[in-house]
Amino acid sequence: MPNIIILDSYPLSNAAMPFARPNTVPTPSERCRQWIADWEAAGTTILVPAIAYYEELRELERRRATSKIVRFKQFCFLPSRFLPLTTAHLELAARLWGQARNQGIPTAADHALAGDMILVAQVLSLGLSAEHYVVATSNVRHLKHFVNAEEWSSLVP
Amino acid sequence: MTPTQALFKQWEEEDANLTPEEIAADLQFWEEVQQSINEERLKAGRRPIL
Repeated sequence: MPNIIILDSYPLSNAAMPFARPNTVPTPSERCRQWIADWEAAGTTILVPAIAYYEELRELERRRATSKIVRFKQFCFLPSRFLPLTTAHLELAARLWGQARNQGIPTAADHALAGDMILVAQVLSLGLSAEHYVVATSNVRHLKHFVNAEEWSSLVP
Repeated sequence: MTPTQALFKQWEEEDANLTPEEIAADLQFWEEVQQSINEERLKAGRRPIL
């Protein structure tokens, strides 16, 4: 069982969704939100990396969704939850991006911000061995080259 | 109760009086956010989330 779960954008994007009502079949998003709570209840630390926070926050800002931004921030800034982005993360992301390019590992289009590399750098900077953490995502492609990443629904507390 | 459970409980209490239509609109909102994240990722050549 991992000590730490780092949320990629899909699991994070479910955190502030409204609750299912009794006698209704939970949607995948509702199951995902409950999954986050269950893991924390099992003693695992849930982390929100700044790059995933940014990715969702900008969509909420685009929609000027003030009340939803409040909820989203409440979740992201619970104690010991947020993983800030530092200069060291950006420098490591740049190094990894360059190495990946030279080795022919695809990360993102040449013109794009390589968000995956920033996520990877944030995770690697934790200094944890692979058995102690996992990045929970809806798409492990590329990430698997660099960090321990699993489909969120395959992780059972 | 963990911090996340406490927060979810707080939200559940705040949402107790929402109508089914308001809940459906909320769900649709968040699904559209996910779709937008997905589209932006695809434009950037990144892993889609959906």
